[in-house]
Formats: sequence, structure tokens, C-alpha cells
Amino acid sequence: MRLLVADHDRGRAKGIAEACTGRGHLVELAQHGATALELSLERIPEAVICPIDLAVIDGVRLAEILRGNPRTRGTSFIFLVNDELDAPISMDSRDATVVAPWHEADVLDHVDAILERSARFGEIRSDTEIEGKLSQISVADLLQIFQMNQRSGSVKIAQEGLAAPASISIRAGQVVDALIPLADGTAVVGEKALYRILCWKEGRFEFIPGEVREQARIAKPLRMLLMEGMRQKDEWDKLRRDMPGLDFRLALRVPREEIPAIAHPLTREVVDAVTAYRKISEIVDHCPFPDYQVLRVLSDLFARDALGLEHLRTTPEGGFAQSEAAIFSVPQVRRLREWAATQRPKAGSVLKVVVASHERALVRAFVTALRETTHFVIDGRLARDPEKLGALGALGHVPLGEHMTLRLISTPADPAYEPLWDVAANGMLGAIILPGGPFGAALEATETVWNKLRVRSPRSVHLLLPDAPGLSLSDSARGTLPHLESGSFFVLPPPSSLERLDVLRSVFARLVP
Amino acid sequence: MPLARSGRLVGVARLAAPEAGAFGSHELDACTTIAGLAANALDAALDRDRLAQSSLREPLTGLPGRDFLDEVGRTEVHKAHRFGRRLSLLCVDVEGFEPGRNAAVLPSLVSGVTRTLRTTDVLVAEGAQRFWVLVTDTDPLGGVVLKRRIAQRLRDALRDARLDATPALGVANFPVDGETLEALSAAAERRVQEEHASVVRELGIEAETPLSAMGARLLDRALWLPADFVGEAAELLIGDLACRPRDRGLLFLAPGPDKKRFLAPLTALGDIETATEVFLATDGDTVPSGPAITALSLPPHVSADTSWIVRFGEGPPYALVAGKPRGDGARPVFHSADPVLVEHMTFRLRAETGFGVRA
Repeated sequence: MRLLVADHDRGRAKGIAEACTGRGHLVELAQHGATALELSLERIPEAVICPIDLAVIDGVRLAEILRGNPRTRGTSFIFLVNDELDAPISMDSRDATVVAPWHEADVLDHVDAILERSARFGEIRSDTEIEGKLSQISVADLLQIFQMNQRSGSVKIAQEGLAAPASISIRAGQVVDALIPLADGTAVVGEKALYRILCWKEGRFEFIPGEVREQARIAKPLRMLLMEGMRQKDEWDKLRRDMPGLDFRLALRVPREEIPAIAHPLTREVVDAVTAYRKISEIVDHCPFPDYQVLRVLSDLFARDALGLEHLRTTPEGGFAQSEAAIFSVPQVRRLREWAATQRPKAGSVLKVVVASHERALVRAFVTALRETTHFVIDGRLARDPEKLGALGALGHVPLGEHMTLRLISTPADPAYEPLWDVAANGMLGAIILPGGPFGAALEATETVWNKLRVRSPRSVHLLLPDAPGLSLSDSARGTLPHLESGSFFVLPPPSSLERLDVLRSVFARLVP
Repeated sequence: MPLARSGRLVGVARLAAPEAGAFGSHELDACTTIAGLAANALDAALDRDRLAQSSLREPLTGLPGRDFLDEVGRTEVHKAHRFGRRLSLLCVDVEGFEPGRNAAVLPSLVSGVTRTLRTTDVLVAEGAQRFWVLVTDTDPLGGVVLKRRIAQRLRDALRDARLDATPALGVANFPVDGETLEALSAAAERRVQEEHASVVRELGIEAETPLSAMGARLLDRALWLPADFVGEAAELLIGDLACRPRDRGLLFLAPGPDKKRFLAPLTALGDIETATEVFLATDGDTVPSGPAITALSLPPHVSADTSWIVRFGEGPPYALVAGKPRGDGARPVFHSADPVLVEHMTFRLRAETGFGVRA
């Protein structure tokens, strides 16, 4: 085990270091916190042994800094303290304290405990072994090197534009899985991800050796994967020349049953993805078949006029221009970003809005309205199984550009779900309540969830969908709505109305801080 | 007659005479002079009272008073704001303790708390039944560890003195529960109330209650919910890791029969870095690569057919236990946002499974 003994008391440091070396551990010494930090970042230790009052950067602060760094977050700490009461209060099971007079045997006991824990919970994450730029070595070359050396571990590739680093898992030289995270929280996985990564020319990679315990999603030998990757890249390049850009949105121009070869599983899957996602890049991302196959089907349908397109322009800032389908204006997107940056703890790249209703039909009607008028992207599983719309969970997302998305989360207003309302509302931007039934009863049924959500965010609104199946709203009730609570009630006009998008925009505008 | 000082009303004097018109301008002048003197005296007396109350030491406990906390606390909150630090404020109530009758026990209670604190923590008393502890540079998880340590010491002291009193503690954390001292105090007091109202008390769950017994008692109160419910709840909590990656916390997942519904969203998260550590009861199965996932096993006496979810930390607390499904797939589910229950389950899981908590 690699250990770092950071201590200004040279005698104590020497004694501990010798005891650890005697047990076969690799030990480095640092005299103060700054050196310890530097050494830890250079060669990640499995454990740092240091006094709480370490000079320059104290022990607790050093632990905080290393825990904040993804590369060093797995490091354990053994703190040396004068008094038990001075022990840092931590709930981190990786840490331990040794109280004066700091017997070396006590320190060794804790080192053993760390070893035991690592044996119980999995191998301790090793230091990065190789890192560099893809402009200097291709992914294919890297994979062949690891194959020749029968290495196990994972290659992480960070690329501008990615929500998080992509990864390729390697077991004894064989690629067993690949994963590219997407901005909406889902991921492209397996061979599809690998073939895409093989084409990358830019990005930083690092190889983290270690046992790979994931289930293998890729079973083909590397040579076959590389050959297939090259073939797919050629196909993709050819098809791209005849296809619109990836930011274009597509829509079916003919009824589903009239689509040529709809019985073929690939065509069916692609048509489902077109219905669900519309934007070409998202269709390609979310269809489980290899990218070039998806593109080939799209190209074919496009050529046969079964698909039409709509172009969404992006602004230089990365947000959507005020196109026909945009929900938020550019200043509103900027404001959302500012809001996310000021949250404590900071919000991630996925913001959320809670949609609460007592009736699933209303959530379906709301999602239909969003999909018909805006660039809202429905969750893939719900697109395939719309009956599940209105259950607890993500409905889909609104892309905000620059890898930021607004996720819509459906929460039933049924009291059986109450303990989950706070979870759904944690750090939310705001909430949209969809009351159902006759007007008075509608508000009663959603009153509890409304009160609960409004405590979490004052930006909560009611959206009435009087034209949803089975629901109606009397003219008199409609007339009194605006007076109930200024600015928090909206009524969605029928699908034929040109004001539908404007109302949806107003609803979402109310959620912008 | 108003008794005012520097334009501020400090009291009112009522003058009465048996006959109407008894007060002329002469009497009124005299009253005004006397009222001025009375107002001065009254104001000085009130000041003296205030000073006595806010003096550095509470007479009964010998600890600093609440005003000291207000002063120090505001500075610490300001520092936490400025330097991005975390801090916790604990409210400690000793329910059923009568200081008048049990004054002799007070020193052991105070010592129980002080022995538990670090040298940098601030302990103040508000009367003899309520204490406040300000703990700097500690996250919510650490705050709860401290809370449990203090509770244990107080229980020990009360038991030794054979007193039928119970400590109830609430902890509030900056910045999640509030960004001002007032907001933190209110949140800590609210948590004390939650401790009183918790299902933990109703069900007689104690620190030593085994996980299996705890699960059985909770399932006695379960509702039959649709087959998808547990999976949906798990997906919501796992999906929240992408929305709130900086929330520090612990998430325990034991999928039971819903393995796929738990593993799919974990896999989809990919390598997103999250401050919440995920612990997955896998029974030796493979673990999806993902955000700080640690594999562990449910204790042998807990049925593998049960599903467990516990979220503890900076986000809202949540706990779920689900029993075996019946023929139509519906499952008995008990779930709750009760923070006290979540805390108990967290520490029990720690003791029995190695869930990432150190008491």
C-alpha cells in the first residue's frame, strides 16, 4: 500500500514510516501540509497519516482538499491527535484517529483496517498510469497497447462538449464495455459507444489500472472491433454528406403504418426514436443500434419523403435562438445559468422542475402539448410506453445549451407519494401543478402538494388544462381564475389555438428566477 | 401618563382621583416631572435585567448565555459565507428535567456535553433545560455524529442520576438549512420537535434495535403499493444525483427483487462525479461502474426479498422498506421522510452492513 506520512515532528514521522515500511508498505514523507498536498497529487496515496495540527495546511483541510479532487477522493486519513476530543468529526468510514502517545502499533492497526476495507469493498483505486492527448495517440493504438500488455482498468476520456468523461473498460486486455454520458443524464453504452469513441481525434485520456467488475457488454475480440469501427466510420462519413446537420429536427410526414419496412426492427426502433426525440443527434444517441445504421435509416426515410425537417438555430452563446419551438429566450437561459451557479450546494448541469398532478391524463396532455409546440424531449421509455406518463419519475428534458438541461419530473399528488415530494423538489427551479376535475375539487386535490412545493420554491404555478380528455372548465370558473392568485394561474388553450405556445412560454417564464 | 425616555415609551402610569377635575395644570406639571424620573428608573431597571440575562455566564450552569451564541454565531455564519465553510448548530433539550429539584445533576449534564465537544466548538446554555452547540467546519454528517454522541452522554448522565428525563436534540446545518443564525436556530428547534413526533418513538425503535426488527415494525405499517413503486422511487433518488451532484450524503440501496430497476439508472449515470456516496447491497453480483459505488451485503437475518432505500445527508431525508411482492406484483411499502427514522436506519445499517458512516 502506498502511504504518505505528513508530519512536522520528524522523530514521530520517522518512527511511523519505519514501522510501515517494515510491513512492506511504500512510504513517502512530507514535513508540512503543502508538500503533502503536492506529493498526493503526484502519486496518489492509499492513506495519509498526519497530525491534526499539521503545519501550513492542517490535517482536516488537507483531507477536505484531497476529497474534493476526483483523483484523490478515495484516499483514507489517519489523524494523529493529542486528545480524543480534538478528533475531527467525520462520518467517513475511511478515516481513523490515533490518540497520543501515538503508538506505531495503533497506526499499523488502522493501516490494516484500511487494507481490510479495501479487500471487502473492492480494490483501492490506483494511481493514473498513463495520460495524454488523443491528438498524440489514437484510441485504437491505445487499446492495442493495453491488449498487448493484458492490462485491466479503465480509460477515461475527457472531451470538450461531454457532460462527464467517457470511459472504456478493459479486462485483461479485452475491451468489455464503453460508456459516453449524455447531458440528459442517460448514456450511450457498449459497442455503439466504443465505435463512436474510436473516431475521436481530440480529448485528454487517462488510464486507471484496476480490476473491472462490471458486466461485459462487449464480447467481440479487439481486432474485430477495430475493423468494424473503421468500416462504420467510413459509412457514417458517406451518409453524413447527404444528410442534414445533427441539430435539425425531424418529424414523420406519413402515418407510421405507411412507412416502408416498418416491420423491420431497426426501422421500427428508429421511427420510435424520431417520434420520441425529433432532433437528429438525439435520435442517433438514443437509438440502441450503431450510429451509422440509424443514420442510414433516417437517410432512407428522408429520401422517400417519409420524414421532414425543422431547423433549430443555436446562438453563439450556445442557447437556442427564439425559434418557433424555443421555450426560453436567450436572456432567460442566461438567468437560469446564473441561478444554477449561485445555488448552495451548487446545482449540477441538470436543473429540475416538478410537475405534480392527481391525474395521469393531465400529465399526458401536458407532455403532448409540450412536444407538439416546443423542443421538449420526452424520456425515451415514456415515448415507447406512453401509458407510464404521469407515474413518478422523469418526463423528459428541455435542452438549454452548453450541456445544461431542464429536467421535468412528474410527481403524483396522491398522499401515498408524500415522502418523495421533498426528494423530487430538492433544489428544484420551481413546480407546475396540473389540477384536474371540476375547478373547486381540482384545487383541493392538489392543495397539499402545492403547499409543500411552494415552501421549496416560490416559483410554483398552476396550469389548467381544460381541454384534456374528460376534463372541462366552466366559463365562469375560467373568468375568475386570474383573480385567485396573481400570476400563478394559467389556462392552456385548445390545440387549435395559436396562443398555446405563448401560454407555455409564460408558464416557464414564471419559473425563471 | 406615558413614561417615555428618549422618545421611547417604557411604561404608562394611571392616575386616579375621586372627583372629576381634580387634576389641574399644576398637578399635571408635577406628574410630568415624576413620570420623567420614573421612566429613567424603569429603563435602568430593564437594562439591568437585560444585562443580567445576557451576562457571559448563566448562573445555573456556569456556561455562556444565549447572547454569547448570538454574537459568536453571527461571526461564524459570516465566516462560513465568506470562506465557503460549513457549520452545524445543535439544539439540545432535556425533556422532563427540573433544574430546581435536580440542581445537583446539572454539572454532570454539562460535563457530558463538554466532554464530547472539540476545543473549537461553542456550548451555551439557555436556562437549565436547553443547550446550544455551534460546531464549525463540520458537514451535516459530522453534525449528526456529534448529536448522537451528545445524546448518548446525556442519557448516561440521566440514567446514573436515576432521572426520568429524555434528551431531544436537533441539528441544523449551514447552508442547507439556513444561511443566517436565526434560520439555523429555527431549523434546529424544528428538528427537536420532529424528534418528539418521530415514528421512531411510536415504534419504540432504539439505537440498538436490529435492522431486521426495525424493518418488521415498519412493514407492520406498510401500504400495498403498485409493483412499480419501489423502482420508481429508486430511479428518482438515483436520478437526483445528476441534478444535485454537490450534495454531500450517503445513499443506501438494497434492490431485493427489483434489481434491474435499481441498476439501470446507476449505470446510466456513468462516471458523473457526485458528493453522495452510493452503497449497493449486491450479494456478490457485479457493480455498475458509476459514481462512487461501494458494494456490500445485507445482514444474514434480513430477507433478500426486501428492498431498502436510505438517503441521508444534505438532501431531504428518505427511507423505504418494501416486503415481498404478492401475486399481482404489489408490495407492502413503508416509506418516510422522517429525519429521525432515517438517522436511526443509517446508523443501524452502518453497524450491520458497513454503510459508510462512522459513529
